[in-house]
Amino acid sequence: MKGVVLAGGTGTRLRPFTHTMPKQMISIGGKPVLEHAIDKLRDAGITEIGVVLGETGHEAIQSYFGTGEEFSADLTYIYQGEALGLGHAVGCTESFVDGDSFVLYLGDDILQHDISEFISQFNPEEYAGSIAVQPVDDPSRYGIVKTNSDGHIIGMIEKPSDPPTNLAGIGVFAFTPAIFDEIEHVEPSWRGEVELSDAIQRLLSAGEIFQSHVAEGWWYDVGTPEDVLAANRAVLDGLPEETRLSHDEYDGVSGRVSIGEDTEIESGAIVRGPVHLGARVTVESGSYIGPFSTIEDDCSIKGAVVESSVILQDATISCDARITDSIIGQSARVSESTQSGAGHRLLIGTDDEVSL
Amino acid sequence: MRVITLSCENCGSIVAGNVLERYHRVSCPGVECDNTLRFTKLDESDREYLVAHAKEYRME
Repeated sequence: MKGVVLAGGTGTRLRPFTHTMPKQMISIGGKPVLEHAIDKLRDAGITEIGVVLGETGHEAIQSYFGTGEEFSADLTYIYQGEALGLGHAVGCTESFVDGDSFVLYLGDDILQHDISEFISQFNPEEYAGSIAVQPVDDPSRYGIVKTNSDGHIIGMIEKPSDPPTNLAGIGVFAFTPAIFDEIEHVEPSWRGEVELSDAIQRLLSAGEIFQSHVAEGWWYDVGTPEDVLAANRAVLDGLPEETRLSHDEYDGVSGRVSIGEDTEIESGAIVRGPVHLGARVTVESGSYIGPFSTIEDDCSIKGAVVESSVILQDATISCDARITDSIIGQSARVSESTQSGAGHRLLIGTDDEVSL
Repeated sequence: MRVITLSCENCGSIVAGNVLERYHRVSCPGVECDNTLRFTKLDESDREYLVAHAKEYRME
């Protein structure tokens, strides 16, 4: 069985970060969202993985993942170009899938548990597909499945005003190649996109059977800054006990802290886990890195308090300030004002957000 | 929607046919491949279809 990961889209709700990086490369607990997806597929035994790329940010994905060898996967890149919908994205993978059944994983989703059981329960001789679902509190915000007493899916409705169930799709599917014939018959929707759900509905209407698989554990569709922070928190909460090191060489470090290569934590700095520090990070004396913070590679923290935040690669925070529930972008600088008198000096671009 | 693609004969990477119709030639997305994928490499019937339905493959 092959895997397909969708890594296109524009990430408008994650601007300004997605002006310069694809949303699937935003770091969650020290790894890009997309790496979490590839890890899940690989850990479930799927190593032949097609990565569907969009118009923007694909170079960053290709540069990071390469051939996939470093991630014990064999990656094939599939360039979709313009975002014409999930149905078009999946349709582009037909020659890669080459008559096989496949797992489709939406690349901006992140799950707590592995998908081995989901895959082992899918029998392509019996089912046209399978959809991983989970009960949600507010089904009107999600794509909801309608099931019969056998747990078979009999309908799919996007953001229903009157939800028939509270079972939401969590972005993991299994399909037989039958899906491709249906995609060919789907017309673009009112928003100009080829909807995968329409193709699935065609199969259901033709009497084909889809399984529902209720997944355990948390999941996030990492589409907004709030989702990034929540998912980051959840991933760091799962840092293994082995990261609770003796920390003999790091005086002020406590709790579960993952520390990258060549990272320096000066005497007088405090790091309280769960925290991820990337490689070549500098945490200067007087700094405090609090729980649920991810500090990516090559960052410098100089005297600041950082809590429950994601600091992306090569950023510097050098000020006596408390940064909380924040995302600081790649190579950004947060520094102490040198101006006398009251007031904040700000250089804020399109889609940036600052709370004072 | 009919989804047409072209696979690189060197490395197996894939480009959507509507991208090739728009740009006529595209660098192969394969990481270690310097091939160029061209619209003219698609079958004639696929090329004709993409040209005739070009608007369907655009988000306005």
